[in-house]
Amino acid sequence: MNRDTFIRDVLRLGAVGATNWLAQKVSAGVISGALDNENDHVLVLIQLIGGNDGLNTIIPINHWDQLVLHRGNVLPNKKDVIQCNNHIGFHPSAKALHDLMQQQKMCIIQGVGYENPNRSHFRSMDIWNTASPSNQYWTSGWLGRYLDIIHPNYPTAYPNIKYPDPLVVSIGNDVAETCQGNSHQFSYALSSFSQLTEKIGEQHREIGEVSGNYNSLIDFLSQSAKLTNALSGSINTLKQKGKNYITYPNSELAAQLGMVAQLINAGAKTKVYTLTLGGFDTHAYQVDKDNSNEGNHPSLLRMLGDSLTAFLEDLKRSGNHKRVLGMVYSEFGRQIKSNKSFGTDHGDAAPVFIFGDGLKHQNIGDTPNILEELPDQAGINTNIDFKQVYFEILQSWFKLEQSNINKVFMAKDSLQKLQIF
Amino acid sequence: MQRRTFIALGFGVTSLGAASCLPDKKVIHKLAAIQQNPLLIFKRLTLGFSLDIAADIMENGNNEQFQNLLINRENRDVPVNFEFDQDQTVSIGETWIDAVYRLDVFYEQYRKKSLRAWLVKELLSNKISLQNQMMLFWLNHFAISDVIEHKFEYLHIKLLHSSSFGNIKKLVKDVTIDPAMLRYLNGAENIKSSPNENYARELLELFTIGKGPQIGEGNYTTYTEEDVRECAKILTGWKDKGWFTRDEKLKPGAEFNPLDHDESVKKLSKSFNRDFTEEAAEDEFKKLIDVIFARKETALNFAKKLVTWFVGDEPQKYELLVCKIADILYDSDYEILPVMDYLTKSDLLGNTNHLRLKSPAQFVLGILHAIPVTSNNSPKQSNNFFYTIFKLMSEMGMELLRPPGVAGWKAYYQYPVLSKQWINASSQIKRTQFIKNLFFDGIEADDIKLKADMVSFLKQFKNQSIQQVIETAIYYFHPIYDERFAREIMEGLYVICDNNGWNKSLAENTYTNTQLDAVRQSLYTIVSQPQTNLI
Repeated sequence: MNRDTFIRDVLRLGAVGATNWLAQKVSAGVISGALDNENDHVLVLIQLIGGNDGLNTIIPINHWDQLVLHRGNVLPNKKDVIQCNNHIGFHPSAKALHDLMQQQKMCIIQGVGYENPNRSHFRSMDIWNTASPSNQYWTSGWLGRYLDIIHPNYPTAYPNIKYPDPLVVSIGNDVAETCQGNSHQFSYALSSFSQLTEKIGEQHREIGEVSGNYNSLIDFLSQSAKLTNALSGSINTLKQKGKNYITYPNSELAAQLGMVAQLINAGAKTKVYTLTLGGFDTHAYQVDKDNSNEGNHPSLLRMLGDSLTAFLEDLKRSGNHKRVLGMVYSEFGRQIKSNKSFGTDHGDAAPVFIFGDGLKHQNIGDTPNILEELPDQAGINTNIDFKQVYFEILQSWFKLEQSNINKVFMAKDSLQKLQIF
Repeated sequence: MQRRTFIALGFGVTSLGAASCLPDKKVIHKLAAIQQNPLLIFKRLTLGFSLDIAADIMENGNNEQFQNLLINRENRDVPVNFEFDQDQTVSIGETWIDAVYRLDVFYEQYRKKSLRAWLVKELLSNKISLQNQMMLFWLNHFAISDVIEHKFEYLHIKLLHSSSFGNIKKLVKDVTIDPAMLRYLNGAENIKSSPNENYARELLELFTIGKGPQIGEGNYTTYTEEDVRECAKILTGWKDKGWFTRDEKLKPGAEFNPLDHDESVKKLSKSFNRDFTEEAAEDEFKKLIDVIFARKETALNFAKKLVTWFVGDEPQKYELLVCKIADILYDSDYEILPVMDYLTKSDLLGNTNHLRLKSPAQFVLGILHAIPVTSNNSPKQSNNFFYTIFKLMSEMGMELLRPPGVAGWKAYYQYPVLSKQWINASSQIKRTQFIKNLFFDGIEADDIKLKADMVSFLKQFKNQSIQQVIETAIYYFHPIYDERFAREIMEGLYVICDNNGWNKSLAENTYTNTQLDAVRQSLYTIVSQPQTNLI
């Protein structure tokens, strides 16, 4: 610990001698300023990259004729659509998702988006991840701001007894934008379990007096190496201890969810897991030319449904199902009219999926209305603001107080509840 | 300072070489770190260079290498199909950049891979190149992404490369109607009956004048929302052509459709000092760009971006330099070479007081420039090696041709994280693994693995002692020369044989396995230090 952080900690804690060593001995709660009502709930985020064609996932079958008119070349065969009620049906490849809904393990929220939608992948993803209004550029993520409230001193004195594991595990090479706090990124990027035994050099050689920022950068690298090595160590212990109670299907997403389940089953104290599934930017050939039930997009839906089914079953068998909630989202939906290349272009609102145990409803939000006459490039209108979903997760799942929720959204007013739980 | 002088300083003695000549520890501690690094300027201007050049700079000074930096390489290789055997129009070994498409064959993946392998190969091809560094600067500046027609991507890279030392104003005009850009920022959809503001907005906000503080509704000091709308109108009518075409005669490019062009009078705000009411249709966008470049804020914005790219994380710390470069740009009507000439002479460029974390490209390519891998591989193996390098950089957070946003990679603009953005658990581990694989386990190249080749590495040095080899390597990989560290390495090497033994081997270019292992271990120790991440 260098002198600066030492002084900062002493000032912040009002305690003399709050060194790293001490921090691990005394109650970590005091050190981290953790809130009393913090529970053991876990959130799993799955980001569908590229913009999911919501209309070909949850199909508004009450407007079938209009859909045939606007996007006949990508629609599945009507007889194969899995009817849910009078309004909606699931794409045949999304049978597993439909089954999860029937078993009350999944809730679909239709028409989720935001005001003044942006159809750029990056910009729209930024808006979803930072929860900013669409005309403002924020640099921290919504979960990062949540974690900032619970862990104001992070990463000083982490990991510790109370928080031995990464607060966020992002499966893949990248950290999660959602978990970027005001000054620190909370996620540990885990590309595969094989990285856990790789030690990064922590050396911090004294090279005598040098001017400039050399020492502070070396310090940053060595601190980062130490944190990573420590967290790699904790995850490795969890990995040894945890197991999967079922065999996962053969796909990258399934394997990644299997990793997450293995850590949860081992009792990881990690609060948030983030995953991504790419391939949703389906401008061309999202379905096969000669069989519109199959193709790239249907394969992705099948992979998503099968992976989630396995994941939830694994958690059920390990007894962790009641403490895990998931959310599947994408930066935007696609346009109502398909293009001539058997694909669809960037649109606006789309459905969000919430999965887990104890969901009060299985279907929230109005089914999109598909008109016969449409302007070119029309997307689905936003019916529910995505921030309402976040709001409810923070309030009902993480039990965050209203005043703190307002800090997360940098807003004064409470949002309207959707009654997911 | 001449090389000999600072080595002497470091040792506190004038005779070099033997371990017995080293001064006692007290003296070393005082002089342990040498903060002048004659290679730093070159490291910041390039994506790395070979160590014969490093040795030459240290021996003979800068001048000749400055000249080499400014060489504009016209003839470049083209990407080839190196492994896909189902493209009936392009056999293996041939290029696809002019090849026609056929129905029912899915070309996209092999061409994507081929283009990316080629790009990495190009970035590694010159012994020393400012041009490649400039091209990466432009890839970050214009930040095209997700263009799945790889012929368009190729044309874009070619344009950026050939314009590296040209005129910025001309480059912006060319990029405006570059087919990849017309696709990426929806210029192709910007027509009179339904204007699309995407490109117009980024042209002002990111590519030229930049966004100033908001001083009123829709007024960003340098331009207004109204300007965005009017610029979009000026840009209407241009469309890319040749997107996945099966027509042999239709070459990829851009075309102007007069019927889609908005012919109304467009009025720019006071920000641009004068009204803009031209109706020259096809050439109207060029006049618009002239108007934007006539504003000095545009020069200032480019100066900021260039200084951020080459000098350091926080351009506000180098305000004088930024202003000077803006003046040079403005006075030369946006020629790049005068700026580069000035930059190479700037004290700040070689100053170790302001360091930053290397980008994955600087880190990986910098290492590979200096440390050759085993050669004599088949084209398929080499190209797969280059593609592996592309993937490694992607895994470390820098996927070329896919920056995370239209503003480029966040390390160059997102305060306060800036270059620290490059470091997270996975990327730091990936950097560690990359070095380990390079030296010991090999890097994947199709059916083989390629490893650092120590004989080729040592061949880069002519008439130099082993101590000079190690010193050059430390100056190349680390920003600040740590004398004690160098001494430890040398002590290890002198265990294998004495100075005469090393001199003999170096002169004859023949080594025992023990010697090669010792060099490998020493180099690995140097490269795997955290300092290697700093520039």
